[in-house]
Parts: sequence; C-alpha cells; structure tokens
Amino acid sequence: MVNEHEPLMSGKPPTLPVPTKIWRPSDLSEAWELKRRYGSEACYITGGTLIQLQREQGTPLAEHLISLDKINVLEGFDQLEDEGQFKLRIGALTTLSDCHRNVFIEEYWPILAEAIRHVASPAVRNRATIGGNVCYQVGDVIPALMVLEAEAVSFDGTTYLRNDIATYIQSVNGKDHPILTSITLPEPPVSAQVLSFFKKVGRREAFIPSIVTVACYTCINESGEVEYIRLAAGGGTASPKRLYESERFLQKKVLVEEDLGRLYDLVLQEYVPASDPFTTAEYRKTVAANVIVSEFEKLIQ
Amino acid sequence: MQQMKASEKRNRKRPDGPDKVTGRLNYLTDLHFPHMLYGKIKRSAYPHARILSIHTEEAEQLPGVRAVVTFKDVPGLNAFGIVTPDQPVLCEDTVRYVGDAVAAVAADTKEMAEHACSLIAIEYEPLPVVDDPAEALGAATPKLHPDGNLLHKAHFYKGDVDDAFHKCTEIVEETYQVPRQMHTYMETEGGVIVPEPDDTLTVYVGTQHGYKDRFQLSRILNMPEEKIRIVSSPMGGSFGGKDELNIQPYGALLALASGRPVKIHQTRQESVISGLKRHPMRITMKTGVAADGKIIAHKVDILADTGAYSTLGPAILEFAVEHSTGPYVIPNVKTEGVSVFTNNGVAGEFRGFGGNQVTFALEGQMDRLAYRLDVDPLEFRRHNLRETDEIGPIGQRIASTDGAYQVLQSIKEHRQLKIKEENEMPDKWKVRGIGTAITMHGGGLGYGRLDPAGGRLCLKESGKIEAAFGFEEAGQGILGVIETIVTEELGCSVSDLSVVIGDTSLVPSSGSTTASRGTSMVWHALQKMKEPFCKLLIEKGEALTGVEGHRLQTGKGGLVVTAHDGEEIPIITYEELAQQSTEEEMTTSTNFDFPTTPDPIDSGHFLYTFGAVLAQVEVDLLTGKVKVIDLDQAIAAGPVVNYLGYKGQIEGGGVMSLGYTLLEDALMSEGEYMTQNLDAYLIPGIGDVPFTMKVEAIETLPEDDPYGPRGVGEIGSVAVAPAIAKAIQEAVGYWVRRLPVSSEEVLAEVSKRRINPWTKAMQ
Amino acid sequence: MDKSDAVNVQTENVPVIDLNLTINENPVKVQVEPTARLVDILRDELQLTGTKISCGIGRCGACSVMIDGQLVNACLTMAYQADQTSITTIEGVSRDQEMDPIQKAFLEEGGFQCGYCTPGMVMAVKVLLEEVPVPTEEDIKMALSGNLCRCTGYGGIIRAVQRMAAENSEVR
Repeated sequence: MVNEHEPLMSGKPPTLPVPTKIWRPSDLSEAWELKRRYGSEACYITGGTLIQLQREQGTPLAEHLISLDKINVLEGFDQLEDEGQFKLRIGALTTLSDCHRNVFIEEYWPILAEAIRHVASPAVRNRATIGGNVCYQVGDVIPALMVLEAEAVSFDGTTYLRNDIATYIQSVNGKDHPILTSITLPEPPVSAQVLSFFKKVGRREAFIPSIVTVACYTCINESGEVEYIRLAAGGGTASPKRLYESERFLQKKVLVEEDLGRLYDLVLQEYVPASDPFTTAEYRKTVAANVIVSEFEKLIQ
Repeated sequence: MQQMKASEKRNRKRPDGPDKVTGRLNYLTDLHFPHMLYGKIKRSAYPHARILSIHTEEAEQLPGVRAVVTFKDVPGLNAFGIVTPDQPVLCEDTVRYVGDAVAAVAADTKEMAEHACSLIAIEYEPLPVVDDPAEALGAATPKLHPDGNLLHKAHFYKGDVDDAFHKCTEIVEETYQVPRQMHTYMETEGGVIVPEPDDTLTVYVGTQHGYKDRFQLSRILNMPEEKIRIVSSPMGGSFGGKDELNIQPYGALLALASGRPVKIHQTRQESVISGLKRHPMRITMKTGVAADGKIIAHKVDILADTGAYSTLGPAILEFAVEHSTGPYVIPNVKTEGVSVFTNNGVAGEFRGFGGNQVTFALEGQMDRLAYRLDVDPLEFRRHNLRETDEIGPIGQRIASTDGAYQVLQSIKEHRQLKIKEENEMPDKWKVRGIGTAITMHGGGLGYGRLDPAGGRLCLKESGKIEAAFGFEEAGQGILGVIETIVTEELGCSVSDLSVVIGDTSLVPSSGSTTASRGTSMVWHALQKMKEPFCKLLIEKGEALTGVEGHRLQTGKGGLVVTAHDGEEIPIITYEELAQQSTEEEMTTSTNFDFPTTPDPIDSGHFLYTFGAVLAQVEVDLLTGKVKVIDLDQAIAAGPVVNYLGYKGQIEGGGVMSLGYTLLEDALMSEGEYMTQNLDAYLIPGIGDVPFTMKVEAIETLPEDDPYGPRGVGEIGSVAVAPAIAKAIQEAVGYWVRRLPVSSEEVLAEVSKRRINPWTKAMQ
Repeated sequence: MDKSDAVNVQTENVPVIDLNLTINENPVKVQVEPTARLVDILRDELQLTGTKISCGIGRCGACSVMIDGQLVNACLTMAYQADQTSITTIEGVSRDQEMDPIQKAFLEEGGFQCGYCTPGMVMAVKVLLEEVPVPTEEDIKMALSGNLCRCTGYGGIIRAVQRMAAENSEVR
C-alpha cells in the first residue's frame, strides 16, 4: 500500500507555496553573502534556460533565486596580454550568442565557436550564458574549453581562484561552490601543422543533447611529429574528460596507419560514458573512437 | 456526374491564411472569458493500481479553488470511447495507465489549480504492470478488463498458404517492430467550457468530430444533446489524435460544478502522458514466390499494443489486416491480427490508421524477396501488381483504378533520373543509397461502419451563399477545399461565399474529419446540392426579374446570363435576390454515405489512393547515423483541388514519417514514459529534412469515374519508412527490422564489414 | 536596507513586481510575480495570444518573440528578466492590417497549415532576414533550428524564406 500524499491531519487551512524571491545583487560579495544566508534554499541564476526546463519537469523553483545579471563585471570580453601572450577573458554571463559572434573567438579559437554553434538553438543561445554551460557540468562547450586550456576564474567570497576547467567543474558539486566569474582563453600554440576539431553527435541534426562530443587541439612539427596534444570527450550525462592515455600515446609520434588501431583501443578504454534509455555506453564509445581516429587518420599521408 | 477538371491553376491562398500568418487567429486555447477559471486534471501516479481512497478535502479548502470533482461527480456514464466506452472519465477503483484521470480541479489561477491537485491525497495499491504485449494474453498475466486482455482479433484467409509455401522457390520470413509515435500536434489539448445562462453548455474544444463529442458528453453528463454545443475548430494540428475525447469531460464537469467558464490547456508533459499514440506493432510476415516470380503465399501475424483502453483499436487492427497485402495480387493469404490491452498508455487513431505499420513490413518483404531473386525491386513489384479492375485486398469490389501502376511507373522514371545524378560525396565516411516503396490506402471508414456525410447550402439574408459542413479545420486546409469546390461548382466568387464549419449549432453533421474523407465528401455533397440549390435561386430570379429561367445561371456576384461572346451579364445580385424574397431563406441540404463496396465484407474500403516514395539517404560510417537527403513522392488520388494544400499534405506526411522512421518513439518502461517533452521525444527539425521535396500529382482517373477527388491527408505518410529502410540497405547492406532505425545497429553492421582500417586492426 | 534587495519594489510579503515593458512600441505596465513566464504574461494578462505555447521548455519555438531585437523563447524568460525591455510579438509584425512581406511569402508559398507554429516561425525568419538578407541553406537551417513545425515538413517554410531571399537579392 502506498500513500502518494499524506492526508491532511493538521487542521490548518492549506496555503499556496511561498513565492520565489528574486535577488539581483550588484556585486559578487553580495551575491556570495546571499547564498551563504539562504544556503540550500537559494540558487544562482543567469540566463535561466536550464532552470525553466527543470521547473517544467516538476522541480519547484528555489525559494530564493540569486540573479547575477546586474553584476556588470561578469559580462563581455577583455583582451589581455600576459607575459607576451594574447588572452581573451570572457565574462561568465556573456551569452553564447555573443561568444559566437566574437571575432577573436572565430579567429583564434574556432573550435569553441564550433562548439557553441551546436548548443541548443539561436533563441536559447541569446539567453544562455557560457558560464551556465560550464556550471551545467555536461555542457557541449566544456570539451572545447578543456582542449584550449581555458582557465576558469571564480570567486569564493574573499578571493578569486584560478583553475583549469575540469577542476572548477568538480568544485560545482560542493556546497558553497565558488561563483564562476570568467573564462580566460590563452592563445593556442602554433606549429607547422595544427589539427583541431570539435565534433558533436546527437540523435537529431540540431538542438539535441549530445550522444558524444569530442574536441581536440594538436600541433605537429615540421618532421610530422605530434608535439602538443589536448584531446577531450563528453556526451550524455557523463562529465567531459581529457583523454590523457590517448594523448600520451600520440605525443611525440609520427603517426602511421598501424597506430590507428591502438588509438581506437585506447579511446575505447579510457572514455567512460553512461547509458540512457536511448543510447548505450557501448555505442557512445565506438562513435567517440571512430570520430577521433578518423580525424587523426588525416595526418597519415 | 462530370469529372472534376485536372488543374494546375487551383493554387488558392487559404482563406484562414491571413489570420494564421499574422497571429490574429483565435485558437480555442486562446479564448478568454470573464470570470474564467483554470482547470487541472490529477492523473494517476501508477501505470496500474487499485485506488483505496481519494481525499479531496485539503484541496477544496485551498483559497481560490472553486470546484473539485471525482468519480462521484459524474452524473451519467462514467466512461468514454468512440466505439466502446471503456475508459473511465474519473477512475473509481482502478487505474490502468499513467494518464488515467482520478480528479480534476478548477481554481482562479493555473498555479492554484496545480497546487490543489498536489493536495489531493490518493491511496493506491500498486498492481503488477502488464507492459509486454506478447505476454498480455498469458494465463498468469493480470486481467486489465473484465473480459481479459484480448481487445480484438481480425483475420483474412484466402486459398491455402501452407500448401502454397511448398510450391515456393524463395521464401522470406521476418519480424518487424514499429514504435509508439506521438502525434505531436503543436497545440496541445485544450479549450474553454462555458455554462450558459439558459442551462446549456458550450464546449470550445478542438476535436475531429463535433457531433460525436456532443453524443459522448451527453452520455457522461446525463444532459440532452440539444443542450450541448460543440465549437470544434480551428485546431493547431490533430493527425487523428484529437478524434477521441481528451479534456472535454473534465472541463464540462468543472464548469457545471462551478457555474463558471473553465479553461484547460494541457502542458506538453500532460499531453504526452495522457494523449493517444500510434499503435506499436510486432508484425511477422512470411512471403513466398513461385518459379515464375509471382508471390503465391503470404502469411501475416500482427500483434498490436492498444494499451489501457480500446478507443479505435479494433478498427485500426482491421485496417492493418486489410492493407497487409497492399497493391499486390496474392492467391494464398493468411493474415491474423490481435490487439491487446496493456498498461502502456493508450494507442488510437493516427494518420495512416494501421496502414503505415503493415506497409513497412510488406514493402520490407518485397525488397528482401527482390534481393534474394536478384531482380529490380520495382520490377518485382510490377510483376505482382494489381490490374485496373482487380478485386480489392480482402475480396471486395473496389472503384476501378490504375493508381498502383501509375505511381509505380512514375517513381521508376524518377529513380532512373536520380541514379544518373552526379553526386559529390562530402567526405569518405559517407555513403548513399536510394530506396523506393509503394502503397495503396483506403479512404472512408469501410464497409459496415456508419459513415454518413452531408452539407448545406443556403442563401442568407445578407446575400452570402453559406456553405456549411460539419468538418473541422486542423491545418489540413478544408476551408480552402470548400471554397474552391463551391466557387467552381456554382460559378460564384469567393466574396459571395461564407463557409461555416466546426460548430454543432450552425452546421449539419458531415461525419468525422478523418480517414482522408473531407475533400471527397465536400465534392460529393456539391454534386448532390448544386442542381437543386441553383434551381431554387434561378426560379426566384425568374420570378423577380422576368428573365427566363433557362437563360439564368449562378455567377459571380449574382445570377447572370451568358452572352454570345461568353461574357457574364449580371441580372440580379445575390443580395437583391435574398432581400427581395419574402419567404424563408433558400436552403438545400444533403445527407448521404461515403461510397462503400457493394460486397458485404466488413471494414472493406472502396476508394483507394496510391503513393510511391523515393528516398535517398546518406549514412555516416563513423556514427551509423542516417540522413535523408531526398524524399520524393508520386501520388494518385484524382484531381488536385488545391495544389498548395496537396503538396503540403504530402510533404508534411512524408516528414512526419521520416521522424517515425529515424527519430520518434515515445519509449516506455514498466508503464512509464521515458520521454515527457520535446527535449527527448524528437520530431524532425528543419535540419533533418531534405531541403527540397518533389511531389508528383497524378490526376488521371479511369474514364467515367464518378467519385471525384480523393483525400490525401494520409497517403503521404504511408510508404516512407520502407523506402528509407531500403535506401539504408542499398547504402550499407543493413536490413532494418525495427523502427526507429537504430544508429547503433547500423554502425554494428558497418563495423562487421570492417570498413574502417582501425577496426580491422582490432581483430 | 540591503542595497541588493530584491528586484524593484518586491518586499518580503508582496509577491508581485511592477513590470515595465514596451510591447510593440506601446508602453505596458503589469503587476506579476517576478518568476512568471513572459509567455503567460503575454497570453493571459495582456491577451496577446498570437504568441503560442507548446513545449514550455524552449524546444519548439512556438513562443518566439523579440526582446530588444533578439529572438528569445517567451517560455524561458521570467518576468524580472524582461523588465525594462522592448518586446516585439507577432502582433507587432504586421501593422494596420498590412502584412509583412514575410507573412505574405508564408501565405503564398504554403509556409503553414495548422498555423500554430507560424507566429514563432515568422519571428525567427524576421530576425534571420534582418541579420542576413540573402540567407544560404545553412543560414536558414541554423536560424530555424529552434522552431518545430509538425504539419508542413518545412517545405513551404523553406520556399517562403527562399522567396524572400530572392526578393532581397534583387533589391540589392
């Protein structure tokens, strides 16, 4: 026997749930304080596209929504120079559309632009922020940011922390996690030949959760040797991860056809996706391995 | 009766178009009334359970709540269903699927109604879930209805298949599985139900058959039919999904209980959980060919999962049985179909009506046999194709037709051109294939089923000629069809006409807006009404003007006389005619039945349309994903009434089936939906469809065909899946048995063939 | 008082805010809960029912409107996020019974059937053509990737956009 709901016993007349309160702090310290004050009853919100999806699915809104949209420093782009290296700082609240339109991203970090192009639809990208996509933990831009060695800057109430994307994403699981404030893209290394790609495979052509996403940035020197490689994969509910074993295998290698089988095996081994009612983990693995290997095959003449 | 002229020029802009493209059109879910309440339906928490108790006290006490209803508040029959009322309006003791309604609430706001629903306490005892149709009839399986889980059996026997299989030189046997497709009309179920001051009820809720809703609601509410008015049009799509009652009973009960207008508009999630779906089927076919290449034996077993309640399950099964031999002549046939009750949602009417499922299987058999025989698949079909005056698929006489040959020939020529096209492949990991399939599809409800139609023409006092039909506009373009046919038949102009549909207080019964029958019925009605109506007007005109009746005819703006040079000379306007008449309005009405076969063979159809599809796919060898790059169709359905509407029906039906083939499945596990909204239930987006699609309309009918244009609401959706499946086989060698096509299975097949050098290295 | 106090005049016990909008060039003021969805405000409060609701999660585009010139899903936008913005709905696309050329193209090319996705689709096309007057196949697919149509199979919609593209390229 199951009670879906306990019958009324208290005798008090029922009331509607407490309406959600919106807070719009104007700086990060206040945002941080509000979250500390309301704890698990509060939630940060930026574009709100994910929260609205969850609300429609039946998850009630938090009692307190702390909107970061009035914190001006969180939005827009800054060009930085750091030890002679060109960097782009993207405020966490910058919309995916603005990122996609940014000429620097298009020129220096095209695989990020490519990743963004595959997130949701134009209308959603006009609201959704790059910070939101990162904090979602399974966002499609994450593998691209990983291989571009992007840095996540976050605020923990007193100081600004600098982490790689993977480390920051890990921290989002914790209570009182630091607020993501910006993402910094360092100018990618250059070499005789660059192999870089972002690939997303979904059940439909567009506006679709990923089955597999892979991103790669590889430098090959004049003698055809891989001298720098960053490779990452995500998809479904699995958090995107760097594929370190595969990277190590390819590092310093002049690729020949026999290596492709080994690379295929390595990807199968170290990429650990999850199954869902529509797609098995096994399929995701095969697709990730195929897509990655087919790209590296291009290096073999 | 004369044949309708084949015409490319009938390219009318739809009369409902301007209001649709500007957003001015009020759908019934857009309506707003003073003092209107919002209704919410509390549905079951379990796919199968006994209800032990229902407590609504707390919900009733919530401020703003105006009415809460349960089974106790149903004054009449607590059940509905177009044919057999076996679905409870509000469950009393048992719930049989997750969409079963247990209570409903009306409150001042949506939020209040929603919260009140959460305060209704229902005590359940969960029961074992019957989720596998194959086990539904097992002795140990719980019975969902008093008579058990067998909903319906249907069969067709001809000759002796067992004997015939012995004479076959080639036999193919395969089991095909097809999914639970969702209609996904963009406008979810809803509308407003208004209690009127004179104790009548007006129901502004979209449906495909206003009069049927009125009948069903009358039975539920214990209220005379005359006291219920159904306004059923327009709708934001239906595709068969809104023919059965949906939210009407709850809105009506709440409106009567609260005495105020009640609006219910289901969220997409509520729509997924409660709404009808296409029948999932498992179809096993064994088909054998003799040495001369003729199919001589065909054995078919169909298992259909109707879910919790019967709605139109039996009729759909019978349609599937009838269409399981398609347009082919097979001397020995044994087709057996069973539809069963399970706790998996409710399956019912859906564009194609069981035809799409069996056509996928049948055309799959044709392609497999042709492959085994190493003959051209279209040539193999032609070799077995029906002739013009061949008997119908279940032994009934049907209207003479060349449709099968016409569409086959057309698609064959199209394929030859397509093959010659130079295709540059985007990269080396993509391969292409072309597949074709054909089908025939019955219109109307079939022999032995009440299939009445009718219409009315009236010269109103305003001088407008009113054409009234009991049809509903769900997007298919019936308004444009009526406008075209009436203006052509009467010779009047669009501005002389006022078209009225979808309101039981204003229109005669025309039967259901279903089964591709609308266009056909409007044309038939006009053939019957044209002469008597014109006669009424002309007699009156003669009396008023003195111009001899035989010289007068209905024309643009009024009665005219045609001069020697062919010019129309106006004699009297319709307005003058109407206003100078002292008696009643001049009205002609007609009632008749959809044409059926003269042979008493139950469910047998008489008028068929034919379709042929060419699909070209591009398969990605790295992912197994399939992209359809061409989807072209040839259709034989008589004269085109409105080319724009015709093309739209075929393209739209085609893409809906592209989704059926590659993407769509309202997946269930243990009676629960695994997908509850459009993030996981995927219908094709613009990126999933060919950028241009060709539609070849074959308008020629046999000489002296008296039946006019046939409807094309369904035919464009029927033969798409097998054409895509064959294209995939052409591309990568994989024979699809199960829809939607699994990229995983395609990729496994590709990997088996070791197309990638790295997988080879793996071995 | 905390300078980061909740939006506008909202206080602990008053769940509504004054929302100031410009809709189709007219100033509009409504009192709503700050988390109310823009689509409900348009449809229920203001009776601007040309904007439709279908999935409620931004996947179908039936509720597409323009906020400050950008295409957004009104079902994903909360009231407080729309405050002080300028919104264009389908009702603002055609003025004084005069249809926008895009609407005419939809009408003449069969870019709609049931019409329920049409207002959102027209909004998306309008934004596309303002940004790219002569769009390519890829541009069209990208711009309309968030707008689902169940009736037409997109054929008529594509023809309508291509016709606009052809007209625009002649003008140039």
